[in-house]
Amino acid sequence: MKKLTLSLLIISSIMIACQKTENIEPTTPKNTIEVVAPSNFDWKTTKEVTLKIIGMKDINPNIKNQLYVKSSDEKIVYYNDIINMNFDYTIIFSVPSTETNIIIEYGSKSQRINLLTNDIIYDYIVQ
Amino acid sequence: MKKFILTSILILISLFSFSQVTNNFEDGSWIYYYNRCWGIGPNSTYFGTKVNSAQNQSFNQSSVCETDNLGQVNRCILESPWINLSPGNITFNHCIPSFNGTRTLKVYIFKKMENNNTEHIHLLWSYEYLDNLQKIAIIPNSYTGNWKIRWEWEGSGGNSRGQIDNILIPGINISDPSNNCEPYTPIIIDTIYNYYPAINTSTLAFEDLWPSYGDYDMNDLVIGYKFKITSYDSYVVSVDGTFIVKADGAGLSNGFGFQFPILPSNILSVDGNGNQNGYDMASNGTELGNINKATFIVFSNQHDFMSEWNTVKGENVCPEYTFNIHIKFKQNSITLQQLSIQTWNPFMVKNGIRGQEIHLPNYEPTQLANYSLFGTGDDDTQIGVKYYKSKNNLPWALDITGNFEYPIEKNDISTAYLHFQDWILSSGENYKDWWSNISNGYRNPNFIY
Repeated sequence: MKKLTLSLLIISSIMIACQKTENIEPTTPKNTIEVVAPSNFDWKTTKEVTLKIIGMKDINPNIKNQLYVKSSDEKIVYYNDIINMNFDYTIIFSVPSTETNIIIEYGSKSQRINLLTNDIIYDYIVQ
Repeated sequence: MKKFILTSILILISLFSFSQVTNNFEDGSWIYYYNRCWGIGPNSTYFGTKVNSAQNQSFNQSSVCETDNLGQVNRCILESPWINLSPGNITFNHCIPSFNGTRTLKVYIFKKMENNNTEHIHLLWSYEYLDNLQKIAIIPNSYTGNWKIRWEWEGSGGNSRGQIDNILIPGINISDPSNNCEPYTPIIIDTIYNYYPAINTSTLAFEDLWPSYGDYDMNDLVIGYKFKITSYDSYVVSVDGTFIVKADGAGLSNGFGFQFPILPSNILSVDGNGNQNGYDMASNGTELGNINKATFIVFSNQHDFMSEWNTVKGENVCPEYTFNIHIKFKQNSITLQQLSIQTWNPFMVKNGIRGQEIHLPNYEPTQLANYSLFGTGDDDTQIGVKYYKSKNNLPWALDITGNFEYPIEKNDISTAYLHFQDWILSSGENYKDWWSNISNGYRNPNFIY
């Protein structure tokens, strides 16, 4: 009798539990048009990065070289141009939003920069 | 005229005469000077010389260059950058702050021969310290050409260090920090190529029933695109746009164009576009009526070259169709940064009606768009606030990095890409690779063309 009562209790608990589960709404609607997107969502699969380059003002004013902004695996060049090492520049480029860091090359100088923020500063200084 | 020539000559002579390389070490950081090609800092070559702001009593300034304890390390070196020397006096302040042990300071000029890497070195000056008083060294130099100056301290016994400050060297600094501090040689300014978004194409996917939602399969027009930007001395010479039309899941006859954020007058010519029926084009290939931003029409009707939908599995397939648009720029009119290619503004023109533009979310319409359609149907565009988004903030077009395998006909994009909605609801923070990740649980291949 005890066994029967226990079994009935277990079965009924399971049934109650199942009923509750059935009532839970799916977290994402099936049709996209039912989704309410956050109003500030930009829908981009890329992110725009602003690179501020601080020139070395007190070196030979004629020094120019080719600047490369590359992907973390160095396979993609996001931007390249010949720039003067004395001058300040602001360069805007976009990278896939999955990119976590970039490599900046200028002549013999190479530096990996973390994309913790989309505003980065480069001053040629090697620590 | 005579006065002018004389003045010019005097100015040139004075400029040449007063060119000098200086270092007062006031930045206070050895890293600062090391990156400007001074041989200084705690590495194996220059071990023991560093800029020390604690020794401000020595030369009445905030910092000096100081060696380690010469009684322990015995020898320390400081080196200048490469200098194109002029004849004249090399001067500097120097001392040993405490007089104990034996201490000497020697000054050399040296250079490496290019052919065999051997060093040419000449001793210019030598001094043995007999007290701890501050001194000024004035060293006549008659050498010219490209040399480095080297200060070399030697010592034994005691604990005194060497200090130096306020260096003046007649000549011009020619070291190139961007080339391992070797003497500067001008680079040849050559043509530069940039690719946007990358050397491989990205994808635009449109829904064409704006301002109504439609079936949200995002395949009414699917275009792979990329740009090759050719520049010379930072000015844009030309832009080559590649547009690969992949899918035509539309009953409507749709066109496609784009804008650059520059005036149309900067454009010299445009080649390679398809039909532009129904559009008014200027002689330079930009669209008339869009006077603030150069507007380009790639094609006016995708049915002209797409004979099949390419969105229904099992049905006939037509090849992708490629446009190579070549845009020539007026010489020295726009720099790479002014072009700002990442802000290009692509748009579909719905069913051949010029005013019915469909843009990416939050991209502004062109001047030729029909503004009276905003806020009708499902659209909730509010000028200056939001563009081409619905009341639920949903768009009618997507710009997707890399290749996008679009959904099949009449299937909501969310049925094909199972984390698309998670990406939306997280404002793009989660599942950033919702379309490219082929792991289990990311996509349903049955609904992907």
